Amino acid sequence: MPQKIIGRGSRRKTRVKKVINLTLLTGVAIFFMFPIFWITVIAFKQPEDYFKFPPVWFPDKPTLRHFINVQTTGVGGYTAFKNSLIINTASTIISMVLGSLAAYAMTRFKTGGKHFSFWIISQRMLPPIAILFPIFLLMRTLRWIDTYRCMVLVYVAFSLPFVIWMLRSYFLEVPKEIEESALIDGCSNLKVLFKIVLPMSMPGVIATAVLTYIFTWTEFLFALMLSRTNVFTVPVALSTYFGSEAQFWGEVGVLSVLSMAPVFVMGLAVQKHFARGLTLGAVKE
Amino acid sequence: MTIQTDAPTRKRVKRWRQRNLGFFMVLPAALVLLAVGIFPLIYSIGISFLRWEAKIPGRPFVWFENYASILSNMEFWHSLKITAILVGIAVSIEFCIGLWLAVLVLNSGHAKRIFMPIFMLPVMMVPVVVGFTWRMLWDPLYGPINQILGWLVGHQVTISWLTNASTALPAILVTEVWQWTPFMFLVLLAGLSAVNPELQEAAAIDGASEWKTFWAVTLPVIRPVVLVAILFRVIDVIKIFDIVYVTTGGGPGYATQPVTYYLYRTGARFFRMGYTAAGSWVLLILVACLVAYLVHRVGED
Repeated sequence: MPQKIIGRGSRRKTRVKKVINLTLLTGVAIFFMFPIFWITVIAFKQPEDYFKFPPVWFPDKPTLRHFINVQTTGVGGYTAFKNSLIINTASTIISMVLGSLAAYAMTRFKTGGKHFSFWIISQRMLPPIAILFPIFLLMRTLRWIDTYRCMVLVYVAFSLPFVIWMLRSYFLEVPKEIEESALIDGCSNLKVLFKIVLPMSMPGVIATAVLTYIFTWTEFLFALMLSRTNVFTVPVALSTYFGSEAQFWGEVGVLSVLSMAPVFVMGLAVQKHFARGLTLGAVKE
Repeated sequence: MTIQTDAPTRKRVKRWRQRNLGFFMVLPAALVLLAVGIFPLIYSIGISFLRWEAKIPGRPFVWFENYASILSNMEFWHSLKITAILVGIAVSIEFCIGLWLAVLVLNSGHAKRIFMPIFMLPVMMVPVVVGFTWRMLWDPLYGPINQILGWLVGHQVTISWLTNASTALPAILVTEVWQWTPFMFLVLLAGLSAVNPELQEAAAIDGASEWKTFWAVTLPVIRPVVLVAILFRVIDVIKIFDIVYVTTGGGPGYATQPVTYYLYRTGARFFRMGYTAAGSWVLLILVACLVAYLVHRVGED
């Protein structure tokens, strides 16, 4: 019995170790939380508070005025929000539909074989800067710059490798027997996909959709290059404050807080799937 | 009336129908990837052989002139060096801290439920937001970092972290490490949680110390997970752009300019399309070699 071997001294030792563990973890947690705390508080600070030396940690007179200023100064923070919502929702839905069709065919019919799935994942690996300007020039020729369809198309392509690899890994976990009996009963393959495979892997499908949403929500390079005054997204709106040095910290804070809040809520809801999502299905929990 | 067919034929018909259906199910996704992934790549080979500049009329075919001029450009090599430094240092630090945290959290029992969500937050943030936040933290006058350092050393500290050539790159590294260490942590924790505890118990009974058990038993078991995590981080740090764009803008001078940022500037600011396309292809070939090597290593396990 291993319990018997552990004497009183070693039990105290484990307790001390546990306390040290928790202290270290709390320290690291503070390190990870502090920047988020700082930017959140700045959103509510008066300009004289965030430009005070030495810095003020907790403002005496919090203000909500930056929540109004964020639309009236600069390019329009809430317009950016609307744009991000439209572009991300459309591209997430489209890439989920296209991705689940492809993933189903790839797992059930072995369409394309191994080479095809590696071709798809290689798309994710190449540095985006390599295709940024060719895409820009093509979109310019099509006169698609600064349109929703341009952004949605690019984001669908950007999300598809992720969606396909994630769904592939979830679809492979669905037991084959149920599908096979449905097929023998005369169900079409598409019906099997939408009535059996997708509902049975629903937690994974939802996690995939949420992570796709988060990844497109944070995308910056293509949004910067392909938008002008109509379809700029939240990161682009934020970056416009870069040149204007010190004046707009409060507005930057507000936009940051508004961009973090929904993503945090959605992300924490699917936290179990995170490790898998970050590695495109390679690491399972 | 039903047509009677023998079993092999029916099977063949079924397989033929499946192949067709599969093809049409994959087609839309493949078309999008071809149009937005492959076609631009091929197009950029073409562009890389042209002298396509904003101020020069016409787009004459110049063979390898763009490649020659980018390969002889010091700024390009310097930016590659910056990217290499960022990849090497950031990924190593992220791996060490991530592994350490994963072990701590794994042994913390119920506290795991509190710490997991906290460590997850940075990964979900918009990199532009992370850049701005850290810019405010690094601020020489109004940032808390100098303030806290001031408390520690006992007198006022006013280091201009981001405008100083020797501190700007470390500042970017800290920012990058802050955002992406949680990635390593999450992936490695998933790997560690899957290790069969009986293995470690067996080693403990054999008298191995905890430290030795970890190195000799646990780490070899999670090797594939480690390699996957490193592969993904390397690929992503090569793409680093957003944080640099809002913190230093590549400066001071070009002290913190990674290769993606350099190519972005030659393309977007100076509109040197041929030159940028040539640079992109040089980068692409380098990345492809690196990724092929890493994927090969991952595949071995």
